[in-house]
Amino acid sequence: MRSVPLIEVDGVTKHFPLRKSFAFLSREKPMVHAIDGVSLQILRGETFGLVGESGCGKTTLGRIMLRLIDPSAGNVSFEGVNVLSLKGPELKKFRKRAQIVFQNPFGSLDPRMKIRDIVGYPAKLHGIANSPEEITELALKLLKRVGLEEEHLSRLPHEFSGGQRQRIAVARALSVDPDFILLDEPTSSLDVSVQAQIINLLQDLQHELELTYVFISHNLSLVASVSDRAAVMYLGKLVEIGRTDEVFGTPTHPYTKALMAANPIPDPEAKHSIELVKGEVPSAISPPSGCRYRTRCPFVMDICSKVEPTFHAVSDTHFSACHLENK
Amino acid sequence: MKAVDGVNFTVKRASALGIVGETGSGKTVTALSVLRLIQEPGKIVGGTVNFEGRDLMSLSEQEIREVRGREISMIFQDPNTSLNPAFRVGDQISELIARFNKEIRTGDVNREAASWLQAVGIPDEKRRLASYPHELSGGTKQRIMIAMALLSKPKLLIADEPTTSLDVTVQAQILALIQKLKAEIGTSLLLITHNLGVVAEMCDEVAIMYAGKIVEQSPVHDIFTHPKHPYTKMLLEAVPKPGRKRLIPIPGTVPNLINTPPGCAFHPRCPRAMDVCSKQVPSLTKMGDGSFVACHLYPDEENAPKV
Repeated sequence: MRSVPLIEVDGVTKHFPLRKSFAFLSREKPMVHAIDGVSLQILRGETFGLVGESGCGKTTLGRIMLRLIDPSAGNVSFEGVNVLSLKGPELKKFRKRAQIVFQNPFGSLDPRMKIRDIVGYPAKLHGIANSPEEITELALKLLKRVGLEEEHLSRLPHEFSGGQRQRIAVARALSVDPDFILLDEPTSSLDVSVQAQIINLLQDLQHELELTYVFISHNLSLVASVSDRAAVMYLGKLVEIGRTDEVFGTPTHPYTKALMAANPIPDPEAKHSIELVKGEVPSAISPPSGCRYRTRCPFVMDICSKVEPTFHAVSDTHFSACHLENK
Repeated sequence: MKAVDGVNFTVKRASALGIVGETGSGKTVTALSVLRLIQEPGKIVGGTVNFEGRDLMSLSEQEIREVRGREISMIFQDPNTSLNPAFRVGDQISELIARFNKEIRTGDVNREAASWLQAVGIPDEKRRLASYPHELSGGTKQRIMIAMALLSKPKLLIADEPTTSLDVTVQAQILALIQKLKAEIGTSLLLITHNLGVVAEMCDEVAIMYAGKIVEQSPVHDIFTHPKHPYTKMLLEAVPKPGRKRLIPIPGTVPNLINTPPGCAFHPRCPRAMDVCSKQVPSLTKMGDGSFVACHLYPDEENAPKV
């Protein structure tokens, strides 16, 4: 079951136009290159981690997988069906099967809706629960599943803590019995102890309901802990992908190595000995030619500014896009 | 509502104390209290802050303002709090330089501002000095905030979550920069954070706060290898570790500070809770190895006075 792809992302590119228009200068409109030519597969039943720093495109990629945004180029398939070609009732069916939990527990719940309505709304929308009694019953069942109580049904979001609101968001995502949930920084704004509770809940649910997750986070230790496989993105490009123990345990790409070296670990013995990477992520409007990481890479060579690196197989499951590997 | 209740700690010269806690622990209020930066309706109602032989709580408004930014500086999570968006950063740095050195000439001020940018690792100093804050990246703004905090060569730098909003690689650069300048200037560091990894990197000693009180304080190695307080132990267990899939959560939630549980505030969540825990507040007691714990599991080892 593990090796069947649930989602296939093929050559996906997304450019966003900047609001300022230079059309009158008859130059091309400046675009933000959010993602350029990303391809990967999400396997059924796995937790796939997606990491990268600001501007890497991980959030945009997640949104494209769910078709919350349309790509500028490339394809996305879900169970072999091209998601981008779906319309009407077929598209609605897809939406039932692929859900999302957002980062911000304070923004993702309508402040004027009672919890019962927030959790029950998607089911109502998809005709899974119709009468008020059915909706209440479903909402109650889901709230209990995420560790909340009956009394919470009639309350409003502001009466809950961040951790509780995320539980509500998870309940809402589960309400339509999805196959896949995109978790976009689901615990980033939560305390460490609350994060642990939410992560455990997500893991229990995954096991019980056979869910597939894509877990987006800037917290490397967290992704390394919960994911089966992971991909590292930099400035719109995928740079390394593989099993978690490969990508985080034996990173190959200089950027992944830099990320792991920079990541502070709660162990006073493990001080950083690797040279810190210099500079910051360059602009996504005019990304560097060739390899986008070359402006910060300590191993940069001539070819890096001329030719974009392609993926090289470090193992059957582990790939890295770097000219160092292609020598 | 007591945000902070009877907190005692010492920051040694040229050393770094980390204050770690989750939401509602009181760590930020503690840091702000040192410089009397608590705003209405909050109020500091008791205690002393002994700085170089003076009690900061007893100083006049004028006197404490002289201390702020000069002998004790502070940097925050959001560099925008320190940078005025309407002025070029060069002007803001120069203003501070001139403030601390009234006789300095304009030409020298500009030179010093440029050399500070160099010292904090910002390339292309002249262009940066002429920039407005909104034109700069988060990492660059943070570096400028550090420069502004350190240019008076303060005895103490208070840093409240200075790298939380930054990318991991930039965070590493900023932390290394703080370490380097701290060593060069001989500044002490009071670092407020929820990130145990940052604490392990930066601090000599660590104080763990829970519901407004310090529950444990130890040298950094001991906190990680021999945590004593059940909360500290559970916090360390809840932190994600690569290779270990299952996180171990702390059941329950942090208490509402308006209605803290009687006795030890942690007892409702504590796996080792005893009868006395719900009745008596444990006091911070010095242990044989020099650490401090506030927990009934560790009765007075010495009758030494609490720090």
